[in-house]
Formats: sequence, structure tokens, C-alpha cells
Amino acid sequence: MNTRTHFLSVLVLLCTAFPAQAFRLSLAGLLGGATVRVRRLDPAVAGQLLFAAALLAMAGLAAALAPVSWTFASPDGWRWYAVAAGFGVLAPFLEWAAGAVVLLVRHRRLPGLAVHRLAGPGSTLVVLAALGVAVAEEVVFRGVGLHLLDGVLGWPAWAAVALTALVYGLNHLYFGAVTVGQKTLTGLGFGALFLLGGGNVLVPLLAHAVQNVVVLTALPRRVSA
Amino acid sequence: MNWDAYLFAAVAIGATALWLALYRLPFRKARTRQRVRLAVASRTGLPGRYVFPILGTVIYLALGIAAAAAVMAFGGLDLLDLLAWPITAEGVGLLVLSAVGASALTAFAMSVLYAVRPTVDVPGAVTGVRWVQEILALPRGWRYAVPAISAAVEEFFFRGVFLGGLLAAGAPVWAAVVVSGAVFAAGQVLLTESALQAAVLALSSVVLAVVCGLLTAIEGSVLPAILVHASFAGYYTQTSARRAAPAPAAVPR
Repeated sequence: MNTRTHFLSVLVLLCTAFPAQAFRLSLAGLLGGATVRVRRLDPAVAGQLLFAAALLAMAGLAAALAPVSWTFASPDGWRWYAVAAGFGVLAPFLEWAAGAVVLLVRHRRLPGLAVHRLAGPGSTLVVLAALGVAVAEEVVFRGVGLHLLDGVLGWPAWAAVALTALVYGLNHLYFGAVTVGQKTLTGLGFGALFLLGGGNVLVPLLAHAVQNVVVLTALPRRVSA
Repeated sequence: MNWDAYLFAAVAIGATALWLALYRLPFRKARTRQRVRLAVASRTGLPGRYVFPILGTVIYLALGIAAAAAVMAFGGLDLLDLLAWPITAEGVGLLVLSAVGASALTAFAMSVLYAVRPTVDVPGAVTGVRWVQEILALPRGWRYAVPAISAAVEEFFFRGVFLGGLLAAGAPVWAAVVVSGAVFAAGQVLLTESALQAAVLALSSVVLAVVCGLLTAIEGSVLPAILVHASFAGYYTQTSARRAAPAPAAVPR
């Protein structure tokens, strides 16, 4: 293998491994310092939009720089998109079930399936921000990350899927260990969809987008703290 | 690695050790520091609180440049070869990605530190490091400039001369990144005083060593890595100072 391609892949993988960290920190500084005041916009919503925009910019940069060949076609045509949509609908329940198992093992009270209040108020802009985040995450973790590990660096498929899922999960460390487990679980699903769909990032992207829309529009909101 | 590379690594490690020893050892006693502070302040009229921030920085930079010159002469390296960077859109993009990536990886390492032990005060640890304390005694504008300039000299030595020399001597890229990075991280840890400071600086040094090392090897120039490290150091010294719990000034007035 060409060594420059090899080290370029490693550098891109490392630099895009924890995108949320950089932007959570810098946005906290930006918004906390009250330097950015968007008029007539809830600060929470503005924060989500800014975060999505920053994440999309980083995903675009990574996609442009990574030695990746992009394909937007899947074997069996629409079939993998249907599977992806189905997985997207199931994903919130999968995550809830995984969390429920942990709570049951620890003999804690089981909460109902609901959106955390930190998710922000229910508005079109929040859903749009969540869609942007889904696009960015799939491009970074599956389109670039999984492709580099599996296709360019020659890792076995299972190891590449497992590592990208784990890193995707660890990006949610801020929300606690249970969330890391839940996100690793769905990350495994997105990774498998990416490889089964012929390395087409649109397949896991559809699943992830469906998941985020289902979470934000269909699930009840938890009102108390 | 071949014998040329081993020999070059040994010389570069020796130069690093000499650099840090001459910077640190003469002023390790508080009494010596106080005497030097008074002597310089009385002869130059410089306020006493600025003596060590300025003197320490000047000594650190001069020794670093001297070490770089000596190792370059030994390895037959050319200054322009190390620095020349044909600016391309891809190169600039990689520079931006590396700067964001270095700060993201460091932030993740710190969040793991918080997850393992929630009571640690990372910004406090950073501002507690002696050279950071000294820099924070300086007027506002200099607080960005001094860490950035020091970082540029460190980067020129470790990724430019050290790593570049290892590659020129025929070492594989991974070995050059690991050896120069390990010596860099060890040097940063030696300049700390507590276990938490050592952990914080070790983690961020390893991140910078790997990201900047790969960036230098890919771009064939140390210039982008210098920009990444300088912006990183300027940014973190500042934000740590802003976020750390207020503490009484450690540098005597």
C-alpha cells in the first residue's frame, strides 16, 4: 500500500474520532460568553443548530480529504433502503430495551420510553438540526471511518464495524455509560447496514435519519427533571 | 530502524536532555530564584514579577534553538528543507482538520479523566504547572504569544529536526513518530510537579505528538504542525486560566 495513503487515513481517522468533543467545548465557550445572540431564537435551539452546522462542516472536510471512493448504489436496489428504514424505526426501542436491561439488573425503577428534556423543545428547527447531525455522523463514522478501516487499511469487517460502533458510542460519554452502550449497539447496526448495502453511506444515513425523526416527533417528552 | 537512525535518535535525546536540564536545574531552588529575581530587577528596573516569565522564556527558547541547530548540524539537515511547504487546498484542509482533531482528542481524553475521577480539576492542573503560572503573570497579549512561540520552537525541534532527521536517516514513519513523540511527552511530564499535572500534560502531549507527527510526515514539512501546536498551546493556556478556580497568585509580587 502507498504509505502516504496509509498515514493520511490514520490521521483522518484520529482527527474525526471525537468531533462532538471539540464543538461542545467551543460552542459552550461561544454561547456561554454571550457573544452569539440570535434574535427571536431559543438559545437551546440556536445551540443545536450551530452544533449541527459545525459537525456538518467537519464531516464535509473529512469527506473531501479522506482517500475514500464514494459509491451511492446498493446491490438489490431499494431493498437495503427498506431494511434501513425499518431499523431506524426500531432503533429507539432497541436503545430503550438495552437501557432497561441495565436498570433491571441494578434493580432500579424503570422509566417509560421518552425524550430527555435536554433534547430541547419540539420544533421544526430541532428536527432539522437532528437530521443534520445524523448526516454528519454517518459521513464521519460510516462513510469515512468504516470505509478507511475496512477498505483502505484492510481491517477485517467485524473489527472495523466494532471499532467504529464503539467510537460512535464513546462520543456520547457526556450522557453517561448507559448511553455509550446504547449508542454502540445502534452503531453496530448502522455499520452492518453500511457494509451490507455495498459501502453506500446513504443506507445507514436513512436509518439514522429515521431514528432521529422518530425520537423527536413520535416519542412523548419527559417534562419533569 | 537502522544504525544511522539509532545514532541520530541518541544524539537528539541527548540534546533534549541538555536543553531541559540547563533550563530547569540552575533555578530549582527557591532561594536561587529569589536572588536572581532581585538581582535582575534591581539592575534593569524590570518589575520583579516579570523577571522569571521573561528570563525563563528567553532561556527556554534560546536553548531550544541551540539544540535544534546542533542536531541539524549533526544530521546534515537543511532549514529550508524542513520548513518548505507548498501551499495546496488539500494541505490547508488537513491543517484545519488536524487543529480541530487535536483539540477534540484532547477534550475526549480529559472527559475520560473526569469520568474515571469526577472531582479532578483539569484547568486548575494546567494553570498550576510552573511555566504556565509564570506566563499567566504576564500582561494579557503576551499570554497568547509566549505559549505560541514556545510551542513553535518545541514543534520545530521535535517534529521538524527530530522526526525529520529520523526519516532522513531511513527510519520508518511509525518509528519516527513514536520515538520523537515519546521524548517530547517525557520532556513535558518532567516539567510538571504533581500526578494530575503529569497525566494532563502527558495525554495532550501524546495527542499532539501523534497528530503533528503524522501531519509532518504526510505534508513533508513541519510548518503546518507548528501552526497546529502554536494555536493549541495559545488556546489551552488561555481557556484553562479562564476556567480554573481562582487561586492566590503563586508568583511572588
